[in-house]
Amino acid sequence: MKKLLPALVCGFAAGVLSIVPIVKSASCCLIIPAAAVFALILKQRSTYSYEKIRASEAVVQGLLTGIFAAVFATIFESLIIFITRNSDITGTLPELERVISSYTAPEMADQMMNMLYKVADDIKNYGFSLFYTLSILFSSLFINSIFGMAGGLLGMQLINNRIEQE
Amino acid sequence: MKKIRIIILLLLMIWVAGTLIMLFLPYSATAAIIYPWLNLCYSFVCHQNPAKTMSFNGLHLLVCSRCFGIYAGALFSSAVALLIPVTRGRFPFKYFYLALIPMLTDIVLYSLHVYNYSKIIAFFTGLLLGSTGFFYILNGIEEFIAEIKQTKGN
Repeated sequence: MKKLLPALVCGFAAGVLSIVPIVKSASCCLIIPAAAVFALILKQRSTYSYEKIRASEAVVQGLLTGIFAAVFATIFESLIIFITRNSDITGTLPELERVISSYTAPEMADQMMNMLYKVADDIKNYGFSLFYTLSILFSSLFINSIFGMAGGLLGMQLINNRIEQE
Repeated sequence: MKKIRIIILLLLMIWVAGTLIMLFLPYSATAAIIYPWLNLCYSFVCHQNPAKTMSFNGLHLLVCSRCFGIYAGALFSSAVALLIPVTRGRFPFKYFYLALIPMLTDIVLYSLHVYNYSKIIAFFTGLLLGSTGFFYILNGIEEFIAEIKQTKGN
């Protein structure tokens, strides 16, 4: 559990921050890598181990941070959707419709738009769409894991450089 | 290690091409089909604010100017890395901080309304960080692979 805790804490923080518009607007794609860096620092402090970090350890911490961030971000996003009955997809529907209807065959465009409108209707009526929630979860698991591992490797360089200097 | 660098370059090319999906829309129906999913995927790593996003033919990139700069910088560095011999060892971290300062300064200054948000400044500060940061991540990836090889050897 001690190994998981830094990733859990930093993943939770990243999950919260990634749905706060002002923070997201300022930090963009740097939230998850930064969380992975902090997870490594936190792990060192919690275990009182100030030895050099191995790359495999950094990758695992980064991966876990990314996974936890994805899970928490999906939970918070779903909660916000449930409360507000609104989501990003409802805002982007007109642009999606314009793109899809302009560049795909009419039958295909109709099928895709029906699916997207069903998602938007479910969100509006019930505050929840299983398809949208699963899409968010699996897509963010994939993306956040990669960004988390990159952050972990960056954090490893930062910490090991500091140890070498001391 | 050269193979790894080529794979990373290809993956970054796919990632950057994804942000530019609107350029492929007139030529490929598949691009239009995957557009909604790509839009969702990139939304996890960028706010996608249209006011801060470059556009072509009235269609916005899937990431903001700063993120696009970071990814373009990483792609550029991954191409440069193919020309550099593989060496072990660590880069001093001061270069990373130096590359981070312009971006942080830009974020602070436009947030304080010292000047208005500029897509060009955001792009170039992102480009600087992306191109510098890539070498640290690449170094980490190569160290990780060396560790795996060492473990297998034992």
